[in-house]
Amino acid sequence: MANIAAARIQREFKEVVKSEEVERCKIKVALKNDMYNELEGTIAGPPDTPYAGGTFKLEIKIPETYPFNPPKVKFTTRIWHPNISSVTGAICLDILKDQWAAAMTLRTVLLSLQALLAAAEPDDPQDAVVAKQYKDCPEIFIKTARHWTNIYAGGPHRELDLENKITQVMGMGFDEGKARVALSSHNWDMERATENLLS
Amino acid sequence: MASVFDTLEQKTNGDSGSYSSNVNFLTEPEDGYDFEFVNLKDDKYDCPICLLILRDPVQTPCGHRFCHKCIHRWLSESGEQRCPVDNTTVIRDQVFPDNFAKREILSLQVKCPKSKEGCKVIEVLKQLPKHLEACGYVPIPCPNECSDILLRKDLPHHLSQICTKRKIVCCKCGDQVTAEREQEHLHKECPMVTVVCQYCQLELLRNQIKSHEEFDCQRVIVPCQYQPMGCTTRLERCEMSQHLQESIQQHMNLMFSILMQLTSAVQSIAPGALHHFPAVPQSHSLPVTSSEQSITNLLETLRIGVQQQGMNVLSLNSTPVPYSPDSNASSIGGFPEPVAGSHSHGLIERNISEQTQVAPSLSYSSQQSNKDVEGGAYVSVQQEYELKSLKDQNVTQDESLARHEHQIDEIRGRNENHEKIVKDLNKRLKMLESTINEFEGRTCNGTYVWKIRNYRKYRREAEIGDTTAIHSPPFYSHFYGYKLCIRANLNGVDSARGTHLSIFIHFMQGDYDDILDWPFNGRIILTVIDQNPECELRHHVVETLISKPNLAAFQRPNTPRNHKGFGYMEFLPIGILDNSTYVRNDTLIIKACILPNG
Repeated sequence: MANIAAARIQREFKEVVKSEEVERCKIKVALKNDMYNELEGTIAGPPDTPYAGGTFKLEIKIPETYPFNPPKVKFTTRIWHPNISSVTGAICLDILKDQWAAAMTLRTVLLSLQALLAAAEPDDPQDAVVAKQYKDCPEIFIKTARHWTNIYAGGPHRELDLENKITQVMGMGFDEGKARVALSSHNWDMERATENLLS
Repeated sequence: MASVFDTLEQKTNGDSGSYSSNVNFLTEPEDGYDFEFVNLKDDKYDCPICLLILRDPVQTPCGHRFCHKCIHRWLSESGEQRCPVDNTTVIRDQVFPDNFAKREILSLQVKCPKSKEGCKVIEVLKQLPKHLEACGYVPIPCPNECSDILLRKDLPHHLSQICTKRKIVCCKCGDQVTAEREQEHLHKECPMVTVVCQYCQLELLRNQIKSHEEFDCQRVIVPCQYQPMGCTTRLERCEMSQHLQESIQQHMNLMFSILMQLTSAVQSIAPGALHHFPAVPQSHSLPVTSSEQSITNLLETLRIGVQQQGMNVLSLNSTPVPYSPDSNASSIGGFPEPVAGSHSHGLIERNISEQTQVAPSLSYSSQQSNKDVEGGAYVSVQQEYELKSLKDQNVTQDESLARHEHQIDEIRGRNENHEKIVKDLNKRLKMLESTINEFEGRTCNGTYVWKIRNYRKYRREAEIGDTTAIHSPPFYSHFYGYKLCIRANLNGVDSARGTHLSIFIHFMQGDYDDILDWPFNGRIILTVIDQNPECELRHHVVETLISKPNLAAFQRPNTPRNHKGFGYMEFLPIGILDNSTYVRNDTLIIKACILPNG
């Protein structure tokens, strides 16, 4: 039965390659092996969002029962988003779970993820810390998300004040990544962040 | 990717017997059709689940189509009761077959799945299985089970040229062998292959080699014929006669010692045999087996020898020695127990006296033969010499006989080959002749002149009703044109029977009927030629036919020769023919000129 999955992925792969979204560099799919059960997806951050200008990579694993069960998708590019784990890249999206339908394809999944970046669902969060920030301090959330996009996804907008804070925490002997997570999670409050790092 | 190929491959791996059976890909519950459809622009027949063209399409109440198999798998595997396209609730029982779409899809045109291999066929989907059963680009296993798998179109070439299991006729012996065994057959089995005798290097056919080695070959090492007597000599056959010459004495010694052993053996085994012997005459009618007979003969010889010895003894002692049965018994070779009773004694004495009476004559004859031997000594040397030369001659004759036999076999084989070739050539000659006739008919360019030789004979046959009609060889209106022939009823037909010559034109099936216009449209001019040697006096009889498209005679023939002809029952009164120059040298000439319109 694995053959059905592979055969369908082959056809979908051709469909994505031919699609107009690829032409406009919005989505992309690449094969990781010739068994068609592992692929790498790429989506562009949607315009007018903190993710604009960033390029986000996704790991796509095709189960043998595809398309009767959804593909397993997670971000490999780190991202600051309420419905995506800032640690693991795991995604909370209904169509990748109980709302999956066999008529969906790699193309529709990638487009849905792009839409998710443009319209977060803070009431159904994957990352509770990010969701709280999204709801309580939207400005800080936007700056943080833009900063993460700049650092990890090649986004064009640097957040110099945030970078300064990270440099300061790093000056205390902490690792850059840990410093960033701690500061982002504590709304860039130096004191609480270092406290968290030390505990 | 469930396609025709999978089905075929499974069959290849499994039992090869049912290979050409139906490919059920149109009916088996599979994913959609994975073929290259021709002129299929939109995606209305795509299954949203397998993304192929719908197979056994069904529809949901919300108006979406799926392959029967795909939607039911979705409903059961996912546990969801909703449409995969728009998420509206769908219950299994609400899904219904969309036969309209099914009919439409089955009438779509697809390229043969073997188009990449070179098949150019485009077929309606419904007819594709039928095509694939005949498609030349489908791989099939060799029916000879030679383990090759080849494209169906290559099968004839494979079977005639390549297959290792194909039967071929051995060029030497004419037996059928499989191709893979041909070399083995030639090198090890074929009786008509020339092989070299390993002993004398003579070239012989394989089927002669055994008897050659057994009886003829002069170089084979054979045992001396006195081997059973104890001669251990082994020599090439050609040296054996010399050995027999040189070893006469030795062989006689061997025979002598064997004889002696036999004598003592017989005495020890059957002491009574000698006693009984005189009482049994040679002509006695008691049934005896051959071995008994030979023992009897041997004993006879022995007895004579013994009597002779007895004679010698008697002649040495001038006074007769009183006879002692005991001593005599031992010298003769053993009477049984000493016999009691005077009656028995008397019998023995009588026996002995009989023996002594016979002995002189025996001794005489033996002396006589000795004399013969001495007297013939000179003769026997000469005879031996002659015998030797005769033997030598015999050997050379045997050799040449073997050679000749070999040559005869070879010539016979060659002759058979030639007969085959002659047969083949005859066949080809006939083919060429028919080709030439065909060409003549083609190149006449629509004007065909038919010479009916032996007119009188044909006329007679027509009169008595054996052959009422004769047909000309076929000819063509032009090189790639209509194929026709002339029919002549020399004694007329139907109402004109016995009064008129009837002439008709018949259309025939030709090679280019496909490119011609049917029914035939044009004129045909029929002429009986006046053969008067004075050109000015010639009055040809000419008639022109105009084709009639509604007549069967002018339709495209669906038999090699259209049964319906068109012409004249009363072309010329027979009476005029008989006393005229229309028939000269027993030959009637009819000319036909075919003039198609346009």
